[in-house]
Amino acid sequence: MNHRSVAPERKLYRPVMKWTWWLKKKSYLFFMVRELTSVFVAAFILLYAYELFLLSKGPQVYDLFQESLRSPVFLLFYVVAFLFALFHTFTWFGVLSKVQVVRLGKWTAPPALVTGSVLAGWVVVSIGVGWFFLTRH
Amino acid sequence: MYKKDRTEPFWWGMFSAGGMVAALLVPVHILIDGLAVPLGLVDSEILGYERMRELLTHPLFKLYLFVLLVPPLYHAAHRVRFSLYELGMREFRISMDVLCYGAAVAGTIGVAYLLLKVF
Repeated sequence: MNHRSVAPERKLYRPVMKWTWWLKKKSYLFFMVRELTSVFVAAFILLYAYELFLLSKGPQVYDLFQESLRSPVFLLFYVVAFLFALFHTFTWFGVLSKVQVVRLGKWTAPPALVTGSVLAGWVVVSIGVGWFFLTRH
Repeated sequence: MYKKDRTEPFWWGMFSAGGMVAALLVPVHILIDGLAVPLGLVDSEILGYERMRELLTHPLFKLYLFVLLVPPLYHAAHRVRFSLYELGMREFRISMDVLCYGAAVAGTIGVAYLLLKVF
C-alpha cells in the first residue's frame, strides 16, 4: 500500500490497557456486570421468541420444548438470567433518579424516594403480569 | 475528522426504552416462564399450548409481546457495542455498529414476522 496517498492521521494518545482492566477495582467490576446483564436479558428474549415460534409447530413440539425447560441446564440459565435481570432492574431505577430529577415547586424529591417509588411501581407491574398469566380468562 | 452521525439519537433512545422494558417487565417473565412453571410452582397450563395460541390471536397481546421483545434487543446491542470497545476491541472490516445494531434490527424483523405472519 502506498502510504503517501493516505492523509496523515492525527496523533492520538491511546492509553494501553489490558482487556482485564475491569477486574482491578470493585466499581469497575460492578460496571462490567451491569453491562453484562443486557446479554442475559437478550438471551432470554431470544429464547422466549423461539418458544412463541414453536407454538406454530403444533402442540407436540411446543410441549416437548416446555418439558426440556425443566432440565438443569435451562434452570441454571434461568436462575442466572433472573439474578442478572434483577441487577439490571435495581441499577436502572437507581440511575433513573439521577437522570430524572423530580421537582415540585421549590421542593426536590430525594433520589431515594424517586427510586423507591419506581421500584414500588415495578412490583405492582410484576404482580399485574403474574396475575394476568395465573388467572384464567 | 469524525462524521456527524444523525442516527445516534435513535440508538440512544432505543437503548433507553429497552432498558426501561428490561427493568420493568423482564424479571417477572423470567420468573414465570423459566422458573415457576418448569419447577412446578404454578400450574403449567398457564403457558399451555391452547391458551398461548388463543392469547396470540389477540392484537393487544401481540402489541404487548412486541414491546416486551424488541426494545431490549436494542438495549443489549448498545451495551455490547460499547463494552466491546471498552474491552479494547478495535474496528475491523465490518463496523461494530453495523454488527450490533444490525442484529437488533434483524431481531425486530424476526419478531414482527412472527407476530404478524406466523400467528
